[in-house]
Amino acid sequence: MPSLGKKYALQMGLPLQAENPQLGAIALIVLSLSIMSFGRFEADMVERLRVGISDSVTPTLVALSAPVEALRDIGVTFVGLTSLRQDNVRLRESVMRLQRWQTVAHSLSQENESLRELLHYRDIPWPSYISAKVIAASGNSFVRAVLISAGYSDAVKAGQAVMAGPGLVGRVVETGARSSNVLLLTDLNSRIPVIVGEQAKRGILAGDNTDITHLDLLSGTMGVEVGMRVTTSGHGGKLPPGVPIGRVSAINGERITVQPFVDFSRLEHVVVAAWSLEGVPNVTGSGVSSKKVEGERAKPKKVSAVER
Amino acid sequence: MKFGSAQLRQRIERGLQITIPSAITFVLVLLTVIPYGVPELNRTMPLLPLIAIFFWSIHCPTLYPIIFSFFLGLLQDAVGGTPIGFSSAIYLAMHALVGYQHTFFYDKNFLVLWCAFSVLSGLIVFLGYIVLVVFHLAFLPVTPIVMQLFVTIAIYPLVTRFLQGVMRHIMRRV
Repeated sequence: MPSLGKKYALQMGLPLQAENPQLGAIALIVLSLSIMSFGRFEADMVERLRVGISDSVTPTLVALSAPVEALRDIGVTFVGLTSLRQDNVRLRESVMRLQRWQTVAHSLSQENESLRELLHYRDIPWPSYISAKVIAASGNSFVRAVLISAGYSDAVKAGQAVMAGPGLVGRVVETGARSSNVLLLTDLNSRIPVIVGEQAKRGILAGDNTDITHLDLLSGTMGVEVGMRVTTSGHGGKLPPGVPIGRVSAINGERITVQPFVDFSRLEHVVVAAWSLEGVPNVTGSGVSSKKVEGERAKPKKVSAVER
Repeated sequence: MKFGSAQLRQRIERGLQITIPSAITFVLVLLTVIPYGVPELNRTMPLLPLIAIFFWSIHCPTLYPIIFSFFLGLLQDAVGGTPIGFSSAIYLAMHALVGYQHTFFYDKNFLVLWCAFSVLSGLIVFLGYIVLVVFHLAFLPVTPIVMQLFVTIAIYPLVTRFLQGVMRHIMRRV
């Protein structure tokens, strides 16, 4: 059976092959690899190209993701209906448990406040939160990154922490006017300063392009156990301290595996934590005002870029 | 006057013929990067543009300009976070390899083309892996990449059927 292409080309009177296609392709391959190498040494220029392209395609991606989101919501609703009764029982139990915890939290909070007053403790500031929608994923297994629908016009800056419900997702690496690239915790190039467990052992959490992350402790693995919580340390001043990341899931000699709390394949909405050590939330630009609150914790602010 | 409108119509038809392959490949790039929120799909998203580029390069190379693969690669890299130029090189490599063996490919049946796509995509993904290892100076995990390649090869018949339908029913009518 002859291929459709030959029949079609003959019927349409088209040439069967473009002239010298390989030559043009090879020239463009060389150009592509040159851009790639150039980006390694002159990151700023290539970064501007990247954010320019992603900014221009953001409205299309937002529009295209709307029907996908609607279909997903229908699926989630359908699945939810089948387990409504079990969910109801589970939620009632959770509410009862959380009410008990609320009472404990209130008394601890009061105790904490009085101790702070006694010690004249100067608190670290709360971050401001900018909510955004995940509008694109990498689409291949070579990198772990997502594009979100908030950029520098929403006060997002490179280096800021990106979080989803249960914990840290990654950090902003590039910002455009209305979109930002977020490097996930699980990417090969991700390095996050963390602390482990109640002893607050310091370490660096690194990704390797799989769904788990690995921990390099600065002071050895002594005292680290499976199940310990890993949180951001705040060292370096870029990420707020205490943001939950995951739990230690395995220890094989010096190799510690951490299972992140966030399911990266289900990311829909995220919040960017605009935070700085100076006590002034890092927010400028339209619709967002920064306000220094002295003598008390700055209340967290929320800005939304989801509805764009 | 009648001749003029016929000429205009011919121009529009020609314009649409050129636009459709590029537009479909553009949409496939966007479909590849959209987050679906389905774990299995997000982890093994097939390389849909690679299938389309293979198809257009064989069946109507004159209607799908090489430069478009370059721009689509830049787009995918920009939104996906891969190093800028990487996806362009991948797509153009497919274009170049098919172009090199075009006389062999264009009158072959579906099974031969499917096998050829499997071999070429495997080769290109392997070369891409090597490029990224050199770029990052670190080894990347192989399993997710191989999984993605298998899913791409498995979904090839479906995408090809769709693209053949577009050629038969839409491009021929315009």
